[in-house]
Amino acid sequence: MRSIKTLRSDASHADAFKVGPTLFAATTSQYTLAEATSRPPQLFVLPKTATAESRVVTLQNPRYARLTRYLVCPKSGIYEFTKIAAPSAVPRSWLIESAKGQRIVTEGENGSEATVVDFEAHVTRDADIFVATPMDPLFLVLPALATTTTKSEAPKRMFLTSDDHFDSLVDSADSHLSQLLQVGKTRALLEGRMAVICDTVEAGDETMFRLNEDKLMDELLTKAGRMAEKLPKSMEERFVTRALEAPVVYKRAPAIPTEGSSDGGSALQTPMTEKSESQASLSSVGTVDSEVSQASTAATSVDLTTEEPITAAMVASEQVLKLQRLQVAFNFIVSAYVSHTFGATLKAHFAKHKSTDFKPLEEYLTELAKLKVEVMATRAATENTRKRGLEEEDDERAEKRRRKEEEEKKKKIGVSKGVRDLKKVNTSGMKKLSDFFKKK
Amino acid sequence: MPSQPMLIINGSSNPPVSHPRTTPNLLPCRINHDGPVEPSAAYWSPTSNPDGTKTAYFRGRRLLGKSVPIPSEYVGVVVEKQLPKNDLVDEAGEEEVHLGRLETKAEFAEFVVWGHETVNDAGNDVYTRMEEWIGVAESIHAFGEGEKK
Repeated sequence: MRSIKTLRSDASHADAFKVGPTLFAATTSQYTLAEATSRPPQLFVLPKTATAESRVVTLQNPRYARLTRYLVCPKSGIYEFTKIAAPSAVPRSWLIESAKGQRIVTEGENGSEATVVDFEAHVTRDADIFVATPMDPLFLVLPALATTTTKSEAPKRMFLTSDDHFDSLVDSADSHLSQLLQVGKTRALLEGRMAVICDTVEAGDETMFRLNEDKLMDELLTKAGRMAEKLPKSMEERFVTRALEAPVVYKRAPAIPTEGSSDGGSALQTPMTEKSESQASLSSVGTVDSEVSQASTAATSVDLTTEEPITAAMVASEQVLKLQRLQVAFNFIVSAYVSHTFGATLKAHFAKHKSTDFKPLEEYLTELAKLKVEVMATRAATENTRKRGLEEEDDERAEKRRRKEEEEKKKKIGVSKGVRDLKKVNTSGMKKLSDFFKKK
Repeated sequence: MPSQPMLIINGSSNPPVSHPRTTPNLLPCRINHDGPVEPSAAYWSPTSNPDGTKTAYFRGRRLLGKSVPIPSEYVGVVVEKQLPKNDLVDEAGEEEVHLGRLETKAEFAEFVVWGHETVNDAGNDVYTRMEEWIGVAESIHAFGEGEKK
C-alpha cells in the first residue's frame, strides 16, 4: 500500500515513469523470466565408446542422397543420429532440472583452480532428443559402389581405387567426407568395409575395388538374420504376428482339417523335427501343444483342436515365422539404408537367394490368401442372404399394412360429409321411409 | 541448405570431466519458451512413489511419471551448440574447416516421461522405446569382431 501512495505522491515527478514499471513487475511476479535463448540446450544420447576426437559431421545419407549429420569417432566408428520427437499433435516439452555442479579442480598456470559450474533448469519448447547409434560404414560407401548405370541389364562396374569411389560420394561442398578421409583410421575403416563387399585386385601398390553383389547379399543377410533374432516387440506384432494371422473361423467348417493334411504339413501341421528344434526360440504359437503333436499323428491333433469352438484357421509354423522375421528384417534394412533403386534390385535378389529357402513361407502365404478370400466370400454370402431374408419379411409386413390402409381409405372415399353426419343421427322411434309407400 | 559446420563435442574429454547430473522431464504439455527457468524448485519438486512411478504437481495438475533409463553403454548429455567463430581451425593438420562446438552442460542417466493423471503407456510412447531402437540398430550395424562369434 505504501508503494502505491508514494507512486501517487510522486506522480507529478517525471521519474515516476521510471518507478512505475518496476513496481508493476514486482507486484505481479516475484521473479522475472530470463530471456528466451535462440540456441536452446539440446539433448543427446551418445555412446560412451565415442572418444573426445569424435566429430559431428555432415555426410550424404545413403538412402535419401541428402546431407545428414553423423557422429564419427576415429577409434570406435561411425554413428547415426536418430531424432526422437513427439508427434506434432502431442504437445510436449522438456523441462531439464537444475543440477548442482561438482567441484572441478583444474591445474592452471597459477596452481590448481577449483570451479563449480551449476546447471540451471531449462525449458525447451521442442521435445526432441537425438540418439546416436552405431552405423556400419558399409552403407555409407555403398552408393558409390552400386552405381546403377543401366536399368534393365546388370550394370557394368569397373575396378576403381577407393579414392575414385570416394570421389563420387563427395558431390557436395558441404560433405565432410574429404576431411574425414584424411584421418587415417577412419579411412582404413571405410576401406575395410568396402573390401568386405567387393572383389579386389591389386594394381601396383593400390587396391582396386568392384562391388560383388553376392558378397553384399551375404553381408546383408547376416545383418537381417541377427536383427530377426531379436525383432522388437512392436515390429514382431505388426509385421509377423498380424501379417500371418489367419481369419478366425468356426472349427466345424470341414475345409480346414482336410487342407492341413493335404498340405504335407508345411502350412498347418508342422513337421515334428522343426517344432522340436524351434522350441527353444521365441514364439508363443504352437509350443503348447507341441508335445502332443509330436506324439500323435496329424489327424489326432486336429481332433484335439476341434474341442475349441473358435480357432484361427491356420497357425504359422515356427519355420514360417522365422522366414517372415528374416524377410521383415531384410526389408527394413534395405529400405532404411540403401537407395531406392538399388534397394529394389536387392529385394529381388533376396527372394531368390540360394542360402534360404522361402518355399514354406510362400506356400503359407498363398494358402493364407486363399483362405482369406474363401472366408470373405462365405461371409459376404451369409451376410447377403441374411439381409435378403430380413428385407423380404419387412416387405411382406409393409405390404399388408399398405393394403389395410388402402381399404380403409376406399371405404371412406365415396361417402360425403353430410351423409356421414346423418349416419350418426338417432333414428330409433322414427318411421322408416318405406312406411309411406305401404298399402293401407 | 546452408553449410553446417563440423562440430566438436566438448566435455567428452579424457579423463572424463564430471558434469552436473540432471534429469530431463518430458512434460505432457508444450511450454512456449526456450531458455533457463530459474528458480525452479518452487514449481517443480517431483516425489517418488513406492511403485516406481513419480508424482509431481505442475500448475495444480497432478502428473505421474515413469523413468526411462539410458542404456548402460550410452550417456545422455545436455549440450549447447556454439557456432564456429569465423577463424578457421586447423583440423587434422591438412585442411581447414569451420569447427563448431557442442558444449556439454550436464549429463543424465535417465529421463522421466510424464503423463497427466496417468502413467504414460510404455508400449506406445516413442520415448520409452528408445532402448528398443538402440538394440535394433546395434544388431543391424554390428560388424567385424562382434560379428564372427
